[in-house]
Amino acid sequence: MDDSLPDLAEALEQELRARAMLYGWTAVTNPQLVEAGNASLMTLLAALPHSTPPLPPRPPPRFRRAIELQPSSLNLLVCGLDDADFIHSYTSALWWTGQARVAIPPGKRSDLHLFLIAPTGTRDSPEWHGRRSEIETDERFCRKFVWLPSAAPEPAEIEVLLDRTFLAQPWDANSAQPTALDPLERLVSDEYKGDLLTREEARDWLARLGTIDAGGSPQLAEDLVAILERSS
Amino acid sequence: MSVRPELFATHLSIENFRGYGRLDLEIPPGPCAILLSGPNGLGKTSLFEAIEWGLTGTVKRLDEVAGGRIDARELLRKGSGADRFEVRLAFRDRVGKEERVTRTQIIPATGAPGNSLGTDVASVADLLRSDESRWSVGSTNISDYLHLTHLHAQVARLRLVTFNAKQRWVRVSPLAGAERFERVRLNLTNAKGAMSRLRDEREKELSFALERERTWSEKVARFSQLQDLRAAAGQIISPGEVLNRVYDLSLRHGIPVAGLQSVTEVTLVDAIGTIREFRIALEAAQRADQDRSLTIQGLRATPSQYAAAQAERDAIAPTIAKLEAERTDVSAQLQSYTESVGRLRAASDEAQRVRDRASARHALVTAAVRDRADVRRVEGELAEAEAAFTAAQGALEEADVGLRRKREEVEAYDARIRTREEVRGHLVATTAAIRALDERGATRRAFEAEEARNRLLSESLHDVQQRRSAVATELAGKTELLASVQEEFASVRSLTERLQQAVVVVAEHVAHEDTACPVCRTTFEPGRLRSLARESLGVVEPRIREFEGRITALREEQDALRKRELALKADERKADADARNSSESLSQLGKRISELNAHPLIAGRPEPEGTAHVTALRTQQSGELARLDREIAEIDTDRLRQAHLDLSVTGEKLRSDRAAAHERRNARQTRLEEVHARISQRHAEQPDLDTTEQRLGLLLQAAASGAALASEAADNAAAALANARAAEENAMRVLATTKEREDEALRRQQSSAASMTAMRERWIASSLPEPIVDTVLDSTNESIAQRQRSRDGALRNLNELSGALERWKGTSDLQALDLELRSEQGMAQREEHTKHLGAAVLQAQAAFETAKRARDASDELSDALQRVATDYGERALRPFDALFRRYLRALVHDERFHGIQATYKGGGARSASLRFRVDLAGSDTDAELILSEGQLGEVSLAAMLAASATFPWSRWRALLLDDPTQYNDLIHATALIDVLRNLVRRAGYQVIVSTHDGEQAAFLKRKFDAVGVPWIDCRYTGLGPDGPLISVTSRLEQPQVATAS
Repeated sequence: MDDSLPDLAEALEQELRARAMLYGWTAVTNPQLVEAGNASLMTLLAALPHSTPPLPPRPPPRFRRAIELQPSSLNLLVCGLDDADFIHSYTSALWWTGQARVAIPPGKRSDLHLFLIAPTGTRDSPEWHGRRSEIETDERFCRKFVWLPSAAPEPAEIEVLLDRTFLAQPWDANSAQPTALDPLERLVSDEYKGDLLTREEARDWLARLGTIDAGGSPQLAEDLVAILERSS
Repeated sequence: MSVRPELFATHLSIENFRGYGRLDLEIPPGPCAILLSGPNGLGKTSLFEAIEWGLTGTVKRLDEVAGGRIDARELLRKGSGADRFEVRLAFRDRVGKEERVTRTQIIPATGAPGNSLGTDVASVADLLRSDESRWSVGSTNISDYLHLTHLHAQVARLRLVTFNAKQRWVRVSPLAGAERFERVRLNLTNAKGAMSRLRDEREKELSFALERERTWSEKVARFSQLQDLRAAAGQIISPGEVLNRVYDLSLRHGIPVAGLQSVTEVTLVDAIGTIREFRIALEAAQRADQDRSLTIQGLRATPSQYAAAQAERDAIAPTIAKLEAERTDVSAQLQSYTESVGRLRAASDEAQRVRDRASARHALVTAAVRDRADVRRVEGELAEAEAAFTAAQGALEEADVGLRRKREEVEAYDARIRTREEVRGHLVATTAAIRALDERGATRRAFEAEEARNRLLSESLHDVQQRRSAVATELAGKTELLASVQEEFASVRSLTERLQQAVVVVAEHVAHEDTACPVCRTTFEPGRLRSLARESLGVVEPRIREFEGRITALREEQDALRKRELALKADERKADADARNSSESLSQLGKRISELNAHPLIAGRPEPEGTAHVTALRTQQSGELARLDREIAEIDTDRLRQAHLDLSVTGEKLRSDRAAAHERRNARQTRLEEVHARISQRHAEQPDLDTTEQRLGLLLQAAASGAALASEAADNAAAALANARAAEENAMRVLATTKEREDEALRRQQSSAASMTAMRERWIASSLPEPIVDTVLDSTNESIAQRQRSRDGALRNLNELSGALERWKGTSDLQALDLELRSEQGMAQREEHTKHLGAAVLQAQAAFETAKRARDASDELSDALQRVATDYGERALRPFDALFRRYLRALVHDERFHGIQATYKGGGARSASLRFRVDLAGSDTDAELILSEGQLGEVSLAAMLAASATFPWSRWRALLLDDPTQYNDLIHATALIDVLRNLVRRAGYQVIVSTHDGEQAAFLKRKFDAVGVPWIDCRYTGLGPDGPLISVTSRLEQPQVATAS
């Protein structure tokens, strides 16, 4: 196990708590899920999609956390992945997740999320990127997110991770500058400052040019010239 | 101005629209999710289209299918027989103000339907438009705006505004009005060519009008000329006669005309041509004479200039000979001066060397004398420095003794202060221990009290659980009893009803005189059977009412028990919470007692021993502290420290003085050694200098005299050399001046000769005979003037001949020309016709200028559109792109595609449009070529959600998503659902979302429940006579969710 795993998990948990606060939730430890492990293999298999292969029994990960966001029905599991024995570490995490899922009442199982922390320094590893993709597309038991920390992990990495989860808040558009949604309206209202057309002539021109059936270029040209002849 | 609050839909009513006969859907007035679930083909998409039609009067998808505006009859429910269809939407804002949008389309029995009735689109736009938004919108493109930020259609090509189906994924534009904008740009580009052609055509028309006017003017002028000719009287000469006269003139002036003799039959053209040729020849001869006259005029001054140049050349020759002789004399003199200078320079150099040697000897002896004096002076200074150092050393030792004594006193004082601080620290610890003892007692008491309370709470919880169990048992009994009574009541009621029917039959059919019962055939007395039947009617009703009363009572009892059970459950939860809190308090108190027991001063000392020990310790420490305070107070610390400070300063000064004295002594010593070393070195180099001081004095006088004599001799030699040099330089200057004067005389002589040659060449080139004198010029001029006067006369004759010939021609053509011009239309009223042609020119001019202005204005407008597009890209698309990529991160699982960018070309032809590009493995590729249909769906949704947040133009924050996850796997569908429920909870959206997947619908509801999002599920179960059969369930109260901050 990576020595830095507890520190990374603590940092992730703090950020999770902060984000949960924004939604009005309080994050509390759920010891029941940490110790989940009494479900039989058959019970667990019943929770899997029919097409997935059987999962071999494994001991739960040595380091694991379980958080419940109250008063919602959201449950989060946190554990680590091992570089030396990746397969074993992932199947252990998966086995534990299955046990935890069985321990949750059936109506509340839709919102179980597993956060997996890879060893430090894996952020730029192509091999770990492949592993992450494989894990995050795994539909067994719940949705999963893998954090690939850099050699010196920073809070911004957790921000990026959480922006991909149910805690993302991508609706802040304060950076947008005001303008009219219709660029032509803007042009007619305050942008057109030409020497050759008056604002009224420009408006009439744009109205004519914006018609779907322009009636052919010669007719269009005749109409545009006629607008100027009428105005003068 | 107050800002209008945000808006929520509250009701949707659809009548005879598409597959719907009648639908009324109530929507909670606040953020919520409305789920439309069910198999395909039951009307989910039509509901979205109904909302679109209700708000905009159009359905974009159907318009595109129809290739224009869809016929309203296609929207009427088929087979309904109705003459209209209608959609009504109700909204309510946050302060409760109701707003309604109604749209009705009447379908006439015959003929095309007219426009829809109800709320006009401009009012809808005004209703929806947000006052707070910085994104102003017009009503022109309300449909585009809705598709931009609200409506996500199921058909891919309608997801956003696109240019064509082929590029539906490559280039989508999030800009309402961008399609129109691009159309304007395209139409304007196309119109430019046509406008150029129009401008050119009008320019041709203008040229034509001008040509007509000019031709007409010429004809009018010719007509006037002919009239003038007709009126003119004068000599008329025939072409043959004209030719003869020209021949005479040719002979007289010696100017031949080609072909003059070969003309046998003279025509007017021949005569005019001959005159023209002769005139040209005559004028050429005139011009040649004029040129020659001018040339001669230019040579007017040449004879006098030639004579002057010749005189000057002859006068300079003697001067040159004299200067040559002078130069030879001065050269010889200069040679002798140069030789003298060489000799004097050698003598001067020798005298200089002698003076340098004498000066060096004088300087050496002077230095030896100075060294002797330095030795004496430095030895005296060294003795003084020794004495000063000895004195400073003594003073310093004395001061050090005093300073040591004072330092000991100060250290003793500081030691007392430190001891007092230590004692104070012990005392504080002891006081803390006493407080800990007090707290330990209080905590123990509190622990005991909480323990008792905890027992009580546990008992109370047990009691409440017992009572709730009893109530639950009672409730089960009551429920069972109610069921049996209801069952009994049902059987009794069945029997009673059958009995009642029989009795009614009997009562209705039995007359007073009947004696046999029609049911059981029993015989009764007359009248008895009828009375029995009537009595039976009265007996049945109370029995039924009795049963109903019992059931009602049982139900009330059941309700009361349920309420009681609920109350007991609440009590149980409260008691449980109290018990947990109490246990927690107990745990904390116990922990605190353990902590206090671990205090080092009281650890292992039970009461009262612990208190006695600590109190005694505090008394002892207080006494020690008081003693130290007294001792410290008795010491005059200021005086002590000042004395110590003074001594330290004095010591430092004395130490500094001693160091300075020591340094001075060493410096003198070093100086003395240096002087001795210098004397030794000089003695080694000049042994004769190491003599007594008297001998040094004599040497010094001799050296000074030698140096003075050598210096004087050197000065004299230098003066002689300078005089010789001055004489030499003077001779050189004279020689140079003479040479310059000689050269100048030679130059003047050559210049005069060259000038004479040039004048002669020009004279000969002008065909003038020599000699070069004025009389030759005068005679030549005279002959030229005579020829010119003669030719002037010939020209006048020629003009007269031309006039006569013209008149001859006028009289012969007059009749024909008059006929021609008078037949010209309008010649009779030529003034009016001239005005008419002028007006036509003005009109053509104006038309041309307008066309030209239009063409130029099209360029100007193109530039303005370009500027707007560029600026718009910056202001609208950049923030959109930032948000779009954040949505991509949240929605698209595969991180390789997080790099998709909504790019735009600043200033390009498509500057207001977007291209989605993927940076994959270092190459930039169109998203269309890489992404799957499901991923493209996510891109489309990300773009729409980003547009909704970036362009918040509407105060109805809603998302209408028609089967958005149809192509997605579970992971991506979950990601979208997570985002949607967050938008409802955190951003206050109303979301209407459809799915054809029943399992996904259940999943959606569970996801909404998990975070407390209110929802309505409209489950489409089939089709009935009035359209879709919809089962509506909802969960609008979500008490477990706290309000988000």
